[in-house]
Amino acid sequence: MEEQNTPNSNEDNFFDKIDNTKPSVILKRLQLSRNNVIIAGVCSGLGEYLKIDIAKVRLVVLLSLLLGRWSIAVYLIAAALLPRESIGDYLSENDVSLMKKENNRTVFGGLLIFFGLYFGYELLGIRNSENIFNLPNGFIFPVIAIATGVYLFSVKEPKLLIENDNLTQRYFYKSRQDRLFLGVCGGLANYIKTDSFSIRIIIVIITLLTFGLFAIIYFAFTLLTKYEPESSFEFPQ
Amino acid sequence: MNRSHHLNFRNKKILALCLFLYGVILLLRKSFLINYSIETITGSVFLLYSIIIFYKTFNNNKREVLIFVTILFLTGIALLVKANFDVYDSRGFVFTSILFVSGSVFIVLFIENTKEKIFAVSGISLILISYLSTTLVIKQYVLNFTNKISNFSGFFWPIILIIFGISVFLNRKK
Repeated sequence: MEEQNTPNSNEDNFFDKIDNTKPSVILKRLQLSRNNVIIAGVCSGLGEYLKIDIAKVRLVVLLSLLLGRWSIAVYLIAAALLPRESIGDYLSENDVSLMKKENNRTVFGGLLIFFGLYFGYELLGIRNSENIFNLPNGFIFPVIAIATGVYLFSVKEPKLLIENDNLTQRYFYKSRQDRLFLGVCGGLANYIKTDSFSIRIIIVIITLLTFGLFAIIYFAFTLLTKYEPESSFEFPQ
Repeated sequence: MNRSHHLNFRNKKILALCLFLYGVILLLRKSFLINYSIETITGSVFLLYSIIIFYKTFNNNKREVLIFVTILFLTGIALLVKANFDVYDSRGFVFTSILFVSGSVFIVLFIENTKEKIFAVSGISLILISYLSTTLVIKQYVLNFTNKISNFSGFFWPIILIIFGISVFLNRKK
């Protein structure tokens, strides 16, 4: 019996060894993202690699432009050298639209902060100090523009996105659901297929810049347009 | 492959070409082969890009792109005007430009969908106001008003932008 058991016990030992081995480590690689891309996917790749919120990485990269144009050069080099993620995550149409919305808000919010800080520099009188961090002007910027152009031209057309073309006629209505005051911004955002929060901020900024004159247009929209028709959904009986 | 995705991709190619062209012209300027100001070159590239994209995008249900391209086109014109003429009142110039650009955006939205008369009304009103702001009728009033407000809000303007930016960033997932 012992002799017969010997090979079995060896097999058991073999499988025990396998079980006792350490779990295989999945190597994390710094690579360009395939799904979450605004320009080249460098920030999202870095965020996934470092396990940081991608929006925060994007904000930091955008604000680093205040210290000079080095970040553009580093970004382009990373975009050219890093490999592209081989298989992207499966994303539903809803996921894609939510991701786009978040990305748009990140960029828009980042740009507002960027310009706020940029004009704030001027007020505080520290604008000249940014030149310390700048690349030599006049030559590098055209090279960056050419490199970006060549990079964008070399990107192949991806074939993964599935999105229905909604070419049906849309009408402008004041929104019932997406309303903060009178529903004009929500309706406008729905009409031009963009984010209502960003539209609200833009309209407030334009109103401030035109010293309130733009508010007349807002109220004209309020008076001259209708609310969107109520949904005709009925509960099944 | 769907149509809008294909269109986005072609727009990127046009952007690539314009950036390449922009870089080459700036390098030529740097080597003194051509003698144009940066504003003229940038404005011309803006015009070129916006006209091509407008032609490609019009009537393709891409209103957000149309709006962006209209703003870019008028920014290009503003840059060319600033490069070739002396603008002695920059605050008034910004004020008039914002009104004119907003009006033009509404006019483009009306041309894209002529059933929406409200865009035509708003667009024409804004362009008329922008025109009136340059004439002598209200010029003095606008100048005084803009100077007063600008002096007051000049300090707070960056803070307002930063607060708006932070609020947009924090609300990005809502």
